Amino acid sequence: MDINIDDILAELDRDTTAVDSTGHTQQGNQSSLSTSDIPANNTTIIDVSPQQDFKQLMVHWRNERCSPELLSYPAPLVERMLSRIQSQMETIENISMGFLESMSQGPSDDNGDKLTSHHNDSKLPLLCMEAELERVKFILRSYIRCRLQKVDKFSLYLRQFDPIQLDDLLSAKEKLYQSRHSEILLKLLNGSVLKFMPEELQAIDDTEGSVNMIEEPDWNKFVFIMVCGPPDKLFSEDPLLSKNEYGKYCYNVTIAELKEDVELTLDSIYVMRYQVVRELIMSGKVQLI
Amino acid sequence: MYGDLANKLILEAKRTQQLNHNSNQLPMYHEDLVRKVLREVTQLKNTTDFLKEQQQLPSDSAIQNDKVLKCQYFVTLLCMERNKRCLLAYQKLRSDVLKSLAWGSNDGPLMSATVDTNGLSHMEQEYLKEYSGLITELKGGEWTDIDLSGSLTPPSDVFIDVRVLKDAGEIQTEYGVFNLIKDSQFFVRQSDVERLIQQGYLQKI
Repeated sequence: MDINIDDILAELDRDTTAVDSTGHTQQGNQSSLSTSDIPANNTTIIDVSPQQDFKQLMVHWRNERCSPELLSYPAPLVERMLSRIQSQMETIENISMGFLESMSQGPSDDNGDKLTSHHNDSKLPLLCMEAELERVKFILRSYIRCRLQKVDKFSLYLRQFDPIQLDDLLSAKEKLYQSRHSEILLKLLNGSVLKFMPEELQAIDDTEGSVNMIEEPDWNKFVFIMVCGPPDKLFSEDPLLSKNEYGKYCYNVTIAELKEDVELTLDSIYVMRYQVVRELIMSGKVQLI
Repeated sequence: MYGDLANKLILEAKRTQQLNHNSNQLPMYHEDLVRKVLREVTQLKNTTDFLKEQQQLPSDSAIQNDKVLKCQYFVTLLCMERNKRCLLAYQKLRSDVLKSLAWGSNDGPLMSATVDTNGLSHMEQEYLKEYSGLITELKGGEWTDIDLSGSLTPPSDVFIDVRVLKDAGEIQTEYGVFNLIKDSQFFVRQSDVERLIQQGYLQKI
């Protein structure tokens, strides 16, 4: 007869970290420390670490590039990233200034201690930091450019939204861009085409003609998705999750046009209509790839 | 028929699209063709005005006339709509190309290298100018650190070899001075020379 003691062990693991961190006993050896780190990290979801932010940014970037519609703007995240980039740039500059000082000091200074310490700092960490910075900047740049393209594409469609929704959807700068660009584009089209039209055809956003002039996102676009499950990994607490016949967790979604139900099993990849999985994407349970 | 001229314009637009796809250039603005289409629209407008007047006139066979007039009016309206659509499509395509030009090359760090503006209509020239202004405005403020019009290919190498294609003498960039002598070769950090590559002075190896 087997007695499953996994849950007791898990509790013990959590205990040791609590004790270890206060430092009263020396029971916690290396192995227990390293294993207990993982659940401790998992439980703190609202973790604002640089690594976490970067992962979030990657997810936002991928989703934005693949989805047919403009997604909402993660203002706090981007703000944090921007401030980090700035401070990192300053740090790099400071370090390289330090290099210059040590270079000029190096030969003249004959203190043995100082020389060895200076010889030790190689350029490699600096190089890595710069390359890293370039990468983060690239992702942010690509993300924003992608969003601006969508803003252009759905310019007329976005005009229908009320200001509160727009606040959530666009950043202040993007709003500025949208209004300014639609203004100058309208000026161009007005000046070269619309001015010469009869009055009933002068509207740029005519929806009653034979062709609708407001371009909406293609809600039924097929996208590749990866089912990740709830972001906090507490599978039993997600009301949308259910178990299928093989004992695996899955989401049940319905394709309205075909009246067909689909099981989206966890950790698998599907090609699916965007409209069907939109809610799941918004809540971060499914990612676009 | 009425839509035929506009169709020519659309064919032109398609050619522009292909040209732009292959070599990133914008052909001349088809001013006379556009003007012809607009003249056609004016004629159609006169027709509708005339038809409206006809409708006001009291006549004996009012019921039969009414049917014919309605049909005529509707078809003229459709023709105008068709022309409008073609004109707008042509203009929008061109403005899209202008937009990509403005993002791509018009503003290096030194705001040099202007696009060839001879083939553009003066409305388009104005648009290009204002749009470039808008981009410059966007790049300021909180987005200064990430150079928005910078390269959209991911940075895979920190250092690269570049060869100088054009003689340009000593060029001052934000990061330092390069002496660009033709056919010389440098081993430099990619982020430093990205601008010079965009402007065509350097070739990446």
